[in-house]
Amino acid sequence: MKKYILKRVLISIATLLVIILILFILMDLMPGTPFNDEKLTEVQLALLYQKYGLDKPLLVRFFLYLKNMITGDLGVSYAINKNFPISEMIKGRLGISLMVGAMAMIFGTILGLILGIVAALNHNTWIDNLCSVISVIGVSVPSYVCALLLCYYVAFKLQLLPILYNQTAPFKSLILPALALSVSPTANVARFTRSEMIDVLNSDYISLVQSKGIKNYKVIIKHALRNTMIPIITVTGPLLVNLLTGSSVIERIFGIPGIGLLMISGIQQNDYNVTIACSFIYSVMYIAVMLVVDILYGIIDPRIRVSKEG
Amino acid sequence: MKKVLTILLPLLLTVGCGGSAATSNANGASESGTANAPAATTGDAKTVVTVQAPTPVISMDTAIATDGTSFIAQTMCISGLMELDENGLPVEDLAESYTVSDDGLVYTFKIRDNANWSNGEPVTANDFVYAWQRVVNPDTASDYNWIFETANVLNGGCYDPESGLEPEDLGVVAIDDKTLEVTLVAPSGFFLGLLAFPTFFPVNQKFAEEKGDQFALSVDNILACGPYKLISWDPGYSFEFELNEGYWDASNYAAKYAPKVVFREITDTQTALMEYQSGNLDTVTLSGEQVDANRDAEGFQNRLAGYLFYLSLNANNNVHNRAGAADLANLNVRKAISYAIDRETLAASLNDGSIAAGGIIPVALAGNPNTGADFRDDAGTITSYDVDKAKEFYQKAVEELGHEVTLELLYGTDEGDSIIKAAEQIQFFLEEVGFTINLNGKPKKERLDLAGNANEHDYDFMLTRWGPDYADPQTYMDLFVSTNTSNNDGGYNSAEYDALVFDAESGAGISDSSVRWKDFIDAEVQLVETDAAIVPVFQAGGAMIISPKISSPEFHSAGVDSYRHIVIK
Repeated sequence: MKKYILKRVLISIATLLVIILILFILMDLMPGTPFNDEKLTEVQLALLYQKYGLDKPLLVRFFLYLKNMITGDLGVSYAINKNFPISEMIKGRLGISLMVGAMAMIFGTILGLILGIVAALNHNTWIDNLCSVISVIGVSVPSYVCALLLCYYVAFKLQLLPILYNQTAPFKSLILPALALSVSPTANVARFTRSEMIDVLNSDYISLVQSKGIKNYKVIIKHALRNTMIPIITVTGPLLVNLLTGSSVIERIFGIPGIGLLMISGIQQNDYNVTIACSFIYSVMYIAVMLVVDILYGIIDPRIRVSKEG
Repeated sequence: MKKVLTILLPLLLTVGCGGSAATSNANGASESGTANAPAATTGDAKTVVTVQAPTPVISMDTAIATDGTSFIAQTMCISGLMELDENGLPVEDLAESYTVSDDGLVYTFKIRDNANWSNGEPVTANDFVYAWQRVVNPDTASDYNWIFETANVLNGGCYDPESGLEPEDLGVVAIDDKTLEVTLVAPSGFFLGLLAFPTFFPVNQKFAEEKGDQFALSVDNILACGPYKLISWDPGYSFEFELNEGYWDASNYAAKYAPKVVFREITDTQTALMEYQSGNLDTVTLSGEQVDANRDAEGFQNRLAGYLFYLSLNANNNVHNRAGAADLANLNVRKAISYAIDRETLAASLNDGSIAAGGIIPVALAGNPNTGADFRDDAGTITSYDVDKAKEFYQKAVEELGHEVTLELLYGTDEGDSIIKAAEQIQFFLEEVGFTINLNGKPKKERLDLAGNANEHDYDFMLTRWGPDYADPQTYMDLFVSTNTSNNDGGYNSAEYDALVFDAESGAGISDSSVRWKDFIDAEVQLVETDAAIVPVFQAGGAMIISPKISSPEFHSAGVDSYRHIVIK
C-alpha cells in the first residue's frame, strides 16, 4: 500500500508540472493583457511588462515560476488586487471555499442517502416516484436558482438566516450557500443510492441475513448500505472537488470571498498568476481526492485491492 | 434533519413548476420589497454606515490604483492638499493656504501645522515630493504616471524613460517642512482640482521604504492622514473606516459625520437589494431591470456618471484592409451613422439614468471659466437624430462607393448589460437606414487588444467609453489629436482639429481662458459634426437607493466620489 501511494504521489507531481506548463502556454495564447485599461499608453504597457517580467520568453517565465514556487512564492496579482502576493490572496479565500464545499457535501450526502434509501425501501410506490422526481429536479435546476429562492424565502421573507455571508457568523451565514450547492450532490447521491440499494436488497446475501431473523434496520445499515457505498464514493469524489474549489455563482450571490470567484476573475482579467495558482490548487485537490477514493475502496470492501502488494 | 427537509422539500417542488417560476420570484423580491424597506433598526442610535461596494478595492497604493472603488477608499483615509466640496470645487484640505504667482505658473502651498500621519509624524512637503516622484518613477509602473504632464507640471514627461529626464526633475520642491512649491509650464485651470485626486496624495517616505513590497497591502502597512482610518480590509469582503482622531479637522468630523463607515463588497444586484431592504445596507446600486420596481422607493436617485460612450470609427487606421473600415473613410457613411442613432430612445431604454450624448464632452464635466456655465450648455447639442437625413447620406454613400455598406460593431460583453443592450440598439437603428451591421461582442481585454495597437486596429467601429480624469474638456479633446497613438484608434487626423486643440492648450488659450473655451467648443464641432470622426452615443447613469437615515455621498462626474461627508440623520 505504501509503495502504491508513493508511486501515485510521484506520478501526481509529474502531472502537476505538465499542468503548469500547459497553463503557461494557454495563458500566453489568451488574447489581451492583464493591464486592461483603455487609458494605458505604449510606454506604460512596456513599463508594466518589464516590471512584472512579462517581457521574458515563456520558458524563462515557466522555470522562474517553478523556482519561486518551491519557496512558496506564487507571484503577485497584476489586476485583481494589484501587487498582492498570490499566496496571501488564496490563503484567506481557500478556507471559506473549503468550508462551504464541505458543508454542501455533508448536506448533500446525508440528504441524498436518506432520499435514496427511502426510495429503495419503497420501491415502485409513490414515495419512490416522489424521490425520483426530486432527484431529477435537483440534477437539472442550476444552483443559482436555488440560491436565489433560498435567499428570498428563507433569509429575506422569513428572516431565519442571513442573506449574505457574514464573517462574524461564518457557519450560520454559510448554511444557505451550502444548501444551494448541495442540491446537485443530493440528487446524484440519491439516484445512485436508490439503484444500488435496490440491487443489493435483491441479492442472495441479504435474503440470507433476513432469513436469519436479523432486525430490518440492522440489515439495511450494516449489510446493504455498506455494499451500496462503493459506487457512491466513486461519484462523490469528483463532486467533492467541484464543491471544494468553490462556485463562482454561489460566491457572487452570497457575497462570499471564495476561491471560485477569484479564479473566474483571474481568467477574465488575464491575471496570470491568480489563474495558475487557482488551477494548480484545483489540480492538487482533484488528484488527492482521487487517491483518497482509491484507498477508501479498499477499506470499505476488503476484496478490492488497489495494488498487488496491498 | 427534519427541519432541513421541511425547508428543502417544498423548495425543490416550487422549482419544479418550471424555470419561469424562478425568475418571477426573483423579480418579486424587488417589487414587494419596497413596501417593507428599510426595515430592522437597532434600538441604539445609529453609529455605523454600511454602504455597498459593487466592485472591490484593487489597491490602496495611491500610485497604483486606477479604479473608482480604490480611489473612494483612499480618499477616506488619505488627504491631498485640496479636497472636493459637494459641488466638485476644490477647497483646502491638508493645505492651509496657497499662493499663485502672477503668471499662474508657480503654486506655493503652506501645509497645515496640525496635519499628521496616523503614526504621529507630521505630514511634510517632502511627503508630496516623494509621492509624486514615486508615481513618475518607471520602477513603480504607475498607470497614472502621465498625469503630471497633463497637469502642466514642469518636466511632467519624465515618466518616459526615453525623455532623458529623471523623476527628480519633476517640478515639485519642498522649500521647508511645511512649504511645497509646484512649477507649471503653462497655467492650468484644473490643477487645483487634480490635487484632490489620489495620485497627487502624499506618501510618508520613511514608512513606505520601511514596508517595501508590503507597503499599502494591509491595514498595518497603510498610514492615514485623512478624516478616517482604515481599520479592516478583507479583499472580496469588506473594508472599514473609523474616524481618525489625528486628522487636522477631527473635532469637526466627530461632531458632524458618521463615526464608522463600512464598505461591503457585494457584486450581485439581487441579493444586494434584499440586504438593503432588510435594513442591513444604507446604499445600494440598482441594475437597469430593478429600476422600475424601485423608482418610488424613498431615497431612490439617478446619478449621472462621467463616462461617455461613443463609437470609435476606424476610418484611417485600416491596416488590415477591412472592407467595412474602408467604407468608413467615406464622410457620408459616417454622417449616416451619426444621424441614424436615436440617442434619446437608446438612453431611455437602458433605464439606469443614462442620457443621450449631446457631444463628446459629457454634461456637468466642466464649467466656463468666466461664467460658470456648463460646457454642454455653451456648446449646445451637436448630435442629432434624423432618419431622413441619415437615409439621404446613406444613399449618397452607396452611390459614391458603388455598393451597400456592411460593418462590424465591436463592443464589450463583460462591461455591463447596458453596453450589450446599447450595441443591439445601434445595430437596429443603423439597419433601419440601410446598413448591414454584424455584432462582434468580445470581453474587454480582447476588445481593447483588437482595436488598439496590439492588433493594429483590427475593427470597423467600436462602442467604447472614456471616463474623465479631471474636470476639463481637455481630458476628452486630447484623445483625438493626430499625435495621440494610444487612444485615437480610428486614426482621426485633422489639421483643423489639431490646430484648435493646440491653440487652446499651448497657444492663445494659455493666457486667455475664454479663447481656450471657445477653441474647445470649435474643436468639438469639427470632430463630431463636420468630420463625424467619432459618434457620441450616451452618457452613462447609475441608479441607487440611499437610505433616508443618512445624507447622500457626494458624487462627482470628474474626480472621486466622496463618502467622507456622510451625516447620520
